[in-house]
Amino acid sequence: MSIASMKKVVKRYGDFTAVDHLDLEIKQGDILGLLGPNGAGKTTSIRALSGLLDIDHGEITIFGKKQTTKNLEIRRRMGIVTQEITVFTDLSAEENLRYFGQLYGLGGNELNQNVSRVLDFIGLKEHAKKKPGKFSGGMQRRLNIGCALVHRPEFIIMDEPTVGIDPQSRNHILESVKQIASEGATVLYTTHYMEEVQAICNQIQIMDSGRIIAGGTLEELVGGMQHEDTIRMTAATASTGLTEEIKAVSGVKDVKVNGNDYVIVSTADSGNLNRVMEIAMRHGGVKSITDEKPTLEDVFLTLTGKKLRDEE
Amino acid sequence: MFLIMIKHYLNRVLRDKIMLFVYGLLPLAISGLNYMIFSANTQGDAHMLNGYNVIASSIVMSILILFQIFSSSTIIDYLHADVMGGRRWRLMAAPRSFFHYIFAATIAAVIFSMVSGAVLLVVSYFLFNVYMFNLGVVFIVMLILSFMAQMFGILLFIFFKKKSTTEAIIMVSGFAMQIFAGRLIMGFSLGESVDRFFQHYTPYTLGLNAIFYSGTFAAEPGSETFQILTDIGLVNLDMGRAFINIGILVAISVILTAAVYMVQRRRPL
Ligand SMILES: Nc1ncnc2c1ncn2[C@@H]1O[C@H](COP(=O)(O)OP(=O)(O)OP(=O)(O)O)[C@@H](O)[C@H]1O
Ligand SMILES: [Mg+2]
Repeated sequence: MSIASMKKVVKRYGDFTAVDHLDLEIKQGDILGLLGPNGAGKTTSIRALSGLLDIDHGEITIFGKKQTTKNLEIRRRMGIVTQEITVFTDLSAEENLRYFGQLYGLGGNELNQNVSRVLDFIGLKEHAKKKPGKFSGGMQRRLNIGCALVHRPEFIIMDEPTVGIDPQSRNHILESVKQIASEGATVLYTTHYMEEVQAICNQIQIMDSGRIIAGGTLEELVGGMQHEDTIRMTAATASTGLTEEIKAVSGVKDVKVNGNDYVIVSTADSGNLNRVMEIAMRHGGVKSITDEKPTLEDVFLTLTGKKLRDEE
Repeated sequence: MFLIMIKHYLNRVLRDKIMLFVYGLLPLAISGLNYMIFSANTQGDAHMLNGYNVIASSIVMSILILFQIFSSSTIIDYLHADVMGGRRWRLMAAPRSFFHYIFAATIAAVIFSMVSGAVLLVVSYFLFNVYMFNLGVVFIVMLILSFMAQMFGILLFIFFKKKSTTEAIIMVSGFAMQIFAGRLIMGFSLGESVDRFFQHYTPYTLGLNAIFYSGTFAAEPGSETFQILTDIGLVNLDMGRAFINIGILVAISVILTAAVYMVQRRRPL
């Protein structure tokens, strides 16, 4: 069942087209990853989807109803995690959750229960009375997410919720997203970290310059790529004989040797891993060998000729 | 729900140490300082009438009015925090009309500013023997002035979208009204007709005079005390003129509110 769809949505800022005939479809229970570099138009798309922007063209449907900037009923059923941390630093973690719950119409016991549930969920129970001004970046991010969950939204949009935090908090957040989805909510997750998309999303859309340039499951995206196989091997002992013999294997295009380390590039799907290993075993053995699968990063690079994110 | 939003905004300003200092302690400190300087330089008790300190009364009321005018900085703080950054989108994403946030913030700012004014009044009543004139008029003037200040703050913020610029304009205009009225620098004058305007028709003097008209010290004409009263502009009871001033203030507020409404449609916050 479709939860949300965008059809040919255009959003311009003056002469600049930030979102350019965007099509997007999110089904119930999906964790859809919207992947794109800085300035791709992810945040603008999300704002349009949330009904916060007037769009110049196209149509947005959520829960089967037309999304507009005035439709408060749709908003009540959605949860938004903004890219910036937007919690109130003068209010405690608990007070923040309470206020956001109240903005969505919760009160009394229902509010208490949900605040307590969310505090547990984001792992901030012990810090409930503390002010987020004193929190680490990861804790602030978790609270920022928590504020979108108090009212139990059916459809949750998260805009780069893991920017600038420690690996532990990041894992906590990724696990939380999976759990939210397993409890029946639908998630739209934007990021420029492809590892995250690979880890949690069952659907992926890749966006660049305001447009969707590819989409599908991880397997579909990566499987559809024409690419080269790369084998990395550390031999027990290097020798010219070994190198020559590997070069002679059919499909092998290039062999680079550095001490005992070999990088062997073959044409796609040549399946040379076993053959190379067999040869190396005859020449004194193998310390380690891996073949590299193409990643979303490679998919993106192939599609756009650009790196997904600036070197950090 | 709306009450919860007002409470939320009040909660925020009450936890802001700078705001508490500026609107809680600063007016008291300035009043106290003025009072001490004055006491050190006076002999006799010509400034005392019916147990009230005539000069302290004039000073404290003037500071009270000035801080109501400065209280726009409360709404500007709120707008800066809620409208400028990512929080704007987070608040808009909630099922509340954007107007509700602004309105709740305005009411919270007015309440905060009136409470800080009340604190100044109570403390100075006991410490400096300040006369309260007609308390009803004092509170109405505070209410209108602080509401007007919030509208003015919103209007400036719509134009400049910048906290520092907006606050600078408010500071300058507040002090300018006081200086031009001749109440900060003794003997300051821009010529009779200009002086007349500033002594009567700025929000600052409209508010201050409304309060002065609303009470009476009734000193013996020709006495030294009578001379002091005349010098500092403490006129005799004239409720009619107090209400005329209040009426003008209300009219200015209505005009400012309408301006906010219209400007905001063309150039949204
Ligand atoms: N209010 C605006 N006025 C003019 N241009 C804008 C505005 N908002 C965004 N843009 C431009 O639109 C483009 C898309 O921006 P958007 O924030 O949607 O990208 P993004 O994919 O979220 O990027 P990031 O990963 O940096 O968050 C950018 O080039 C940005 O400069
Ligand atoms: Mg963004």
